[in-house]
Amino acid sequence: MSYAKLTSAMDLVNLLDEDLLIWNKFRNGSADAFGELMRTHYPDLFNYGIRFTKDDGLVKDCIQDLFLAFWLHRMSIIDTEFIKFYLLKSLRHNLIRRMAKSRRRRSEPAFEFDPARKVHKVIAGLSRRQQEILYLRFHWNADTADIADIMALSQPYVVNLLQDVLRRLGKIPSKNAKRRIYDSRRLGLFP
Amino acid sequence: MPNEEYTTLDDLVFSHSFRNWVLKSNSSEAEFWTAWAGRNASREELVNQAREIILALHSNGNALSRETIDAEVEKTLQKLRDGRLNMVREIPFRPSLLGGRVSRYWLVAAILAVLAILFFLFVGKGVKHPL
Repeated sequence: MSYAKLTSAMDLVNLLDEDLLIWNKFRNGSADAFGELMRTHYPDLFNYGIRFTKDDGLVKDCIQDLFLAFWLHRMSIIDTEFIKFYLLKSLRHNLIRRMAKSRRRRSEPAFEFDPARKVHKVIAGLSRRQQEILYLRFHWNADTADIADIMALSQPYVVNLLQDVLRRLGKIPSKNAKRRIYDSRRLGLFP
Repeated sequence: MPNEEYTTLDDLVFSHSFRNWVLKSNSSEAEFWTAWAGRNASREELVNQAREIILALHSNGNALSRETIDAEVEKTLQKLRDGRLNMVREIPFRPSLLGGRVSRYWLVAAILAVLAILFFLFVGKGVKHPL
């Protein structure tokens, strides 16, 4: 099950129990547990990585390198609570480094909120950094401390950017107001 | 279970439970949200706006097939079995101290403070005042 698709608190508890079991086997050197861990995190990591580049081969290479390094250093990893954010941070770092090397220059990563489809113009109008913050907050449920750590930014800066994002999102026009009210009533939301 | 405190746009937009209800109206939380909305009719506009934002942000992403993921995992496991770990160019996985929850600036400040205290305790003692 993917973290991004949890449906209830009970799912989270079950997932954490399941994760802990796999994690302990992985630490004891089980290749099966390693494969399971990789399968669990692969879809979300790929979905994050592919927002930096259209080269899916590069994203897959970076994820593979990441997991092999993860295996090599499995005994020195502190605890399990933040695995998903360790993985995100490391993938981001590795991907940006590899992309910068191929371009022979360092620049802001060109993050796209959703390269697979045309997004709302308010989202498209956000800076790359704001889009990435919004993506991490919305899809990964990362708090501002986690986001600051993953993106190597200060937490107050992330808080400011996120507030600006929310202010802009609040301006999404209610052009379908009539339809939305109709939908709400149809769903039994409002009398 | 979700609590009652949903007063701002971000409370709703970043609530997993609310999001599930918006995207899957038959979710297990549907009953809660229908009742909540009934008790909070004054927040109709807030709820509608949060719904609209969630629909704009929601995406199925670039879904990979199960077969693709299995193939990638198998390739990685094969490298493990073959002992081809030297191909990992450098360590991309570097967990930070205390799970990355403490800023590196605070750590540097803390180390400097400890060094300063040690300096005054041990070096400062040796200074003889003329009086």
